Amino acid sequence: MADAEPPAGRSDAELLRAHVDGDPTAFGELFHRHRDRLWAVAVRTLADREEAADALQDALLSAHRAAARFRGDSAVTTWLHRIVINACLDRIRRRKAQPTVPLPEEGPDRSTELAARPVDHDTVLVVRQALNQLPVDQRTAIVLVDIQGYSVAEAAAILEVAEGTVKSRCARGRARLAVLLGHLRGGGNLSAGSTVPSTQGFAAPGGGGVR
Amino acid sequence: MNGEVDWELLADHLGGALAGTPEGDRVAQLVSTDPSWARAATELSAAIAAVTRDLRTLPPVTMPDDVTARLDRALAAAVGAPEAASAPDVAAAPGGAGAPDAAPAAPAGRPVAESRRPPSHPGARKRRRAARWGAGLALAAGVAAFSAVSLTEWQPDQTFPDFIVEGSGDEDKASDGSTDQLAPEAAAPTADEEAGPLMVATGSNYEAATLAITEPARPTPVLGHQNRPSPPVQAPENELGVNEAPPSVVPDPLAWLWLDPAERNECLALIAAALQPPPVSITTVDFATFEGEPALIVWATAGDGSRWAWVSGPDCGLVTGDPDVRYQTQIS
Repeated sequence: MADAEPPAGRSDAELLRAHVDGDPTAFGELFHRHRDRLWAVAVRTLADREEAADALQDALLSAHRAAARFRGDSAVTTWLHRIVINACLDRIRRRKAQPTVPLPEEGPDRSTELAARPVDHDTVLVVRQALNQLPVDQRTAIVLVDIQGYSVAEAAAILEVAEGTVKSRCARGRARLAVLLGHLRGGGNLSAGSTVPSTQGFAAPGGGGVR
Repeated sequence: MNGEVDWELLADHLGGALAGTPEGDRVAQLVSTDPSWARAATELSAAIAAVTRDLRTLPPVTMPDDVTARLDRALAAAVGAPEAASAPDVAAAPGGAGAPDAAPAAPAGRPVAESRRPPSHPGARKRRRAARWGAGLALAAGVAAFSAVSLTEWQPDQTFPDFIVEGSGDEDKASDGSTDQLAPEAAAPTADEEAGPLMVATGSNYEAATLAITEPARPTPVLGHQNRPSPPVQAPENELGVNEAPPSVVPDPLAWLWLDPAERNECLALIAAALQPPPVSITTVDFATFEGEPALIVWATAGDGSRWAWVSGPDCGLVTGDPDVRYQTQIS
């Protein structure tokens, strides 16, 4: 999916190379080619239209000026998505708000606290709200794989994590969504109000040690 | 584990995250033999299928026209505005700098400082970097005739490293052309230079085990910095580039950070933001290697007085928000 190229015209890699070589329209063409997918990732990761626009602008300008250093180790779209997601994560870190809603404790009495099964016309809104309550690493993985349709391998390349990490983030995110959306009553240790730990974090600095 | 269902683990198992691992085999065994695990697996599978259906109800997202227009404007400005006033040593990108259809004209009355920003188009930037690098090497060749070049330092708001020279000499008058050409960029230190970090290129190769004890010392008074107090004596593992032209010890992958103040400052800001608690003061930056790989070695003091050593790779700041951290450790 990420490597899809138009049947005619320059490829993504050719456009990027042309941009580096001074073609003033090449990067814009590359942006227009992928804008909707980049926008979808940004707006669904940040759940805020203005912040998504800001993040996307940061990302595009960063990619625009750093294009000469693109090494071609991955597809151009993978690289662009990585920059966009990092810009989004940067904004999330800045606002220090990764909204996670404690999931209910296990037990029959808790079932009344579960989210009511959404009626059809509200499904989209409720799904969006539930998605926004996931820890950001799970949300990002689900946005890429389940909503945008990237393969696990592509998402792993974009997020720079192992494929198993993407699978775990998606699996735990789906399970958490199942509770939030009322499909799963109970859920045991999916609850306890803690964010589900990921097996591998983003590149954001954490504790000591060599990466 | 038997009897009490670990839902996270079960989710991992159902999502294929444990495939081929001993833990995956154990969970599979539990699901096949333990009624509570089996029941939970059935419930969770059905629930996840329902979630998948729900996620599919989300309509496709397209970029709004106003956002597209805004980003088009931002990109056009990035292509054209800085190019329009790029320095003479930069060849204009084809159709870039002056292309009337590529960018809006620079606003009248644009501040001089802004008009002297480096071009942001990578082609032009690359050429400018190359020009500066070449000029830097020319200067390095010139200063090699001095009695000793001990250290390289500049402040974040400078656009070219300010060479720190011990001793002086007139032997190199022949190279004045190079140095004169660079003189405006090797600007006099600013008033607040003492508050900025010490930027050095020591040529050192740092190891995790020795990082805490090898922070370069503040230099002795330097050309143009005579008022700077003498530093405490604390030498890194090797000599501080004595008789070396400083740029030659900067690893090539770090050259862009060395030469471009905006990129460098962005990188350092990311590092400062990553350390806690604020405010974080970066004291020293060495353009060196870490365990054999080119790296920025950064020493900083956090808001609680704790001292940190941080290692960033050459891609620091290349991807927005990513300081390309390789290693960090609290040293006191």
